[in-house]
Amino acid sequence: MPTVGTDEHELLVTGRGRFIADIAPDDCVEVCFVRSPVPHAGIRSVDLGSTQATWGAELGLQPLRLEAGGMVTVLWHPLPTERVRYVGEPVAMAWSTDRYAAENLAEAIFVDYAPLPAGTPLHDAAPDGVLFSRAVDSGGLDEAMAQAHLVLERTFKTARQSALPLEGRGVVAEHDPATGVTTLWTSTQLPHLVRRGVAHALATDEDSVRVMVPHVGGGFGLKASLYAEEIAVAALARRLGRPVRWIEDRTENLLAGTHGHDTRIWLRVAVGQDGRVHAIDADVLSDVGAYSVWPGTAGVEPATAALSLFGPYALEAIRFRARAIASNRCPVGPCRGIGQNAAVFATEQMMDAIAAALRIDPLELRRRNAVRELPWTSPIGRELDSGDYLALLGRLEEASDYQGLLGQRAAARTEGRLVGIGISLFNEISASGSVDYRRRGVTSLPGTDAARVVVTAQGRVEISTSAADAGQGHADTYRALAERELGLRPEEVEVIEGTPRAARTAAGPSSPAARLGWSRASSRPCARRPNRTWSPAPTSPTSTIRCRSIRVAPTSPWSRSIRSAWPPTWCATSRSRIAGGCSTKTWWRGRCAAPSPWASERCFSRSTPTQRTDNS
Amino acid sequence: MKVTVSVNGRPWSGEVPARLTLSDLLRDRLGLTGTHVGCEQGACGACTVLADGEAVRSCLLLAVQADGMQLTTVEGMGAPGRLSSLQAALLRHRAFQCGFCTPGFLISATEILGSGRRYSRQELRELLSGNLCRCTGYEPIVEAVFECQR
Amino acid sequence: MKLPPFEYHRPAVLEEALGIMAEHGDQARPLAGGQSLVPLLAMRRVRPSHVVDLHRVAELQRISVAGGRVRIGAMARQRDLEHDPRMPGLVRAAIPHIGHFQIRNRGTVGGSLCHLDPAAEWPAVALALDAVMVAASVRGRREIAADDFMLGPQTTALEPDELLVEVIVPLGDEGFGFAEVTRRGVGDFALVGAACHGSAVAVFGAGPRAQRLTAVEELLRSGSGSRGEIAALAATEIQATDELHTSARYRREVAARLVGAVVDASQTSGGLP
Repeated sequence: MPTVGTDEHELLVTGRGRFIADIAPDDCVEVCFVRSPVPHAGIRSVDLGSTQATWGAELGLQPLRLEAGGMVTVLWHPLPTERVRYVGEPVAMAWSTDRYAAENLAEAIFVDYAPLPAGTPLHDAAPDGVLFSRAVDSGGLDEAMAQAHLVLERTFKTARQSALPLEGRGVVAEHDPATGVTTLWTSTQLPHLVRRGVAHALATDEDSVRVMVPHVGGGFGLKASLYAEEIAVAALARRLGRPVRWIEDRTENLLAGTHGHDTRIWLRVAVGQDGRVHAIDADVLSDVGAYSVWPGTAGVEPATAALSLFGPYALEAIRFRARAIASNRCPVGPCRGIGQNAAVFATEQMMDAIAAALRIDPLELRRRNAVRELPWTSPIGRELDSGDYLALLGRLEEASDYQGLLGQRAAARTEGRLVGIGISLFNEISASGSVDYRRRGVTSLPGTDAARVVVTAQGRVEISTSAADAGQGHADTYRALAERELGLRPEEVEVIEGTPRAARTAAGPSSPAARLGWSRASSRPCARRPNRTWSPAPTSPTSTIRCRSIRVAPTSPWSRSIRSAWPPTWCATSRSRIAGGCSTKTWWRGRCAAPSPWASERCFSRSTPTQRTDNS
Repeated sequence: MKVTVSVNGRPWSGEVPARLTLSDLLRDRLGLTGTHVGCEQGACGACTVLADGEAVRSCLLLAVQADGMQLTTVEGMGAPGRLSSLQAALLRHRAFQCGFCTPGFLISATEILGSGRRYSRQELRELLSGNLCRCTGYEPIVEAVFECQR
Repeated sequence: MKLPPFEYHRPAVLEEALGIMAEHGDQARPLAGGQSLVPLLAMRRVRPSHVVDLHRVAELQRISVAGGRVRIGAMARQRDLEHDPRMPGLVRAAIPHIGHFQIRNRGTVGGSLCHLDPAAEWPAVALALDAVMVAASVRGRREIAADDFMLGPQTTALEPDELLVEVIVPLGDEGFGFAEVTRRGVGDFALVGAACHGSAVAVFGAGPRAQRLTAVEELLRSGSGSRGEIAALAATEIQATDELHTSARYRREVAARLVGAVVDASQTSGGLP
């Protein structure tokens, strides 16, 4: 969604939203993809059947690769020319004035497949099919197992799913030969990474690709990967010199929209007599389909699952192996909860198994095992920064009338009805950013986000992030934060996401621009935080300061001082500094480059204590 | 083939191929993109419109079959700043997130409310089950429609 | 998922429709409510050269009563039959289970009976009512007993040039019962279901077509047989196949229990269990 005013909701409830299928530039052609009907085959030849069709060999797309710790690097060819690896993989495309006619032309395309025998490895670089592997051992596992009062072993499986957003995927691309810029509208959750990936595949620089995000009718992770279709449509727009549009139908969405989960967890636990789980040994295996998704990687599901096992419980030793296996299925990407669904399922089922084996009440068992004092670091270094799990269990017991439920269960069972009580205690990984990416050894991608708060010359406040709303209500959230932290009224705040005006993630940490930004900022005394690097310094009079690795702080002393220092009205003099408290705080933890003398906007930073600078 | 319809009170006439669906006619020829297409199988309900006052799946009607019909789409229900009472109720109850399913729900709810009957929440849940939502979990939608019953 | 090209016909009277069917035979598909045919067309699973829209043929929507029987026009909409007092109670009990109300606003009895989805309600209802299908062509009319009409999924006994024009069901009520099990609740496709009318018992969703349970009916007519015995006999008689969402065993066992329930209902309140 581009600029979001407070009447955004009224747009959606009156059907005036602008979703990808609602965008149709003049002179636009509509694309239909031809997809592999076989799970694994060589491509012998392609007969395009008409002049309004093309395939990978003609479009000259660059393959993409992902490098990350534990990953086997395989190439992903967006429109393969030699081999197809799953049913639904896009191979060729036809275009016409509408989708009806494009489907007719697509039917005229004949791809000659040479099916490969079952068991043929999908990627030469991974002969055993393992695309990702990571093993972690805190130490002490074998001793814990040997000394345990009880050792239980179980295998748990979660099925392959689709995140199934109600709105499918879609792309509209337009190329301007005068500027060399290709503009994509795409129903995505990752506009900046799509831009990066499309630019790479088209062998052009990121500044030559713009990505705009319309209203998105749900993503749930299915729209959090780069797709071959996005690349292909962009390439075709450049070739045809006309806007190109592709709107997927539900069959395509089910076949070729990334799948989720499909993870098997073998779990062995060492338990004390009192039900305390001392150690876990796990093997996590995910069937991640034919390719490593970009940018999530094949590791996103199994690694997240492994790291999430027994999340809220205080263990002493952990050992796990997490692997992603390739198969001739649609690639698995992020899907609502990612590996945490599989991990929590395995964890909580195992807890119930322990409770049954030791005849301990399941809720009580969780109380005995929950981490008591936070912050806490797990045996493998996972940090829990805040929370009160015991209090949470207490509230759960009360709110659910747990004792009452036990009574109901007993009564039902005497009647022969099988009634059970399910309990689940879990925590969820959040705030994953560049630090995590580096820790995971992801070097292909920065893993950063950007946010920007700008006071315009007209006295409005613009909040912008590099994220893209897919129905989660970003605008409402930012406005609520602005109200709480800065005392602003919702109608004073504009929210910008998904357009070139939005805050952009910058190039990698080693870019020269970043170094320049660093050096500018270092002229001011600031609180330093390690592992943060900064985006390019402003280069134009109207440019804004950008900061990275944003975390929104809870209410802090800084924010209270802002509310009192900051006047609700603004001085609107153009191109000059705007009156008001220079804030300490709070949107940003970490350092932010100081406002440049010529900027007409102000960025909040923690670098200076509360002060008022008058412009009069 | 020639088709003449009345859409939200306005007449429209034109030549259409026989295989064009009503949903595509409304969206692509009339520019009424508020009617959304989610499955093209009649299962999700996002494309629901009123045809002569009855809620139907516009993806399962041929445009040529709509000849002579009075159609109502979400655009005929209210506008920003001039919401219908049902739309205002959905807004109050936060009964939508991404907004993709919303027009279909509005149309289906219009037929349900038009019966004049007062349904229980459970009955409303069943009546509204012909529209899918992947965001809200349905509760606020049921509450909003329940509240609108006179 | 856009429909393939076809020639569209919109006859105004039955004679015209039959003429088109005679000329184009198996290259023609009649279009009734469209709730089953249009998805098939959209997925290009069927590619008729001709589509014959029957909506303007008024006589196909007529419902009349004569000689203790109700003659339902094939184009009668589900939503109109749902509350029509001339319909047998079993019909009025089953129709609310057909899809959602938006589907019933367009779907027709003829369309359902010619599409013959294994999970559809109407074929079982027609069997339990001993319904008679009236087929028409330029060569004349003929009546086909429901059981003979249903050959398999989407396969009827109609000749390529014939149209189903009427469904004849008995007037007046015997005890009846109807029940189905779905995954999600109201509106979903049935996993299995059962219908009972008098001593006629039919099951649907267990196999490729709805089936009458003649052994169960014999037990019923004998007057003896508890609910449990009826269900047990049904379990041996029901022919079930494995399917994507449910096993043959599930279908057989659950359908058998539903048989017990609908027979019970037919003998007590005459309605829904």
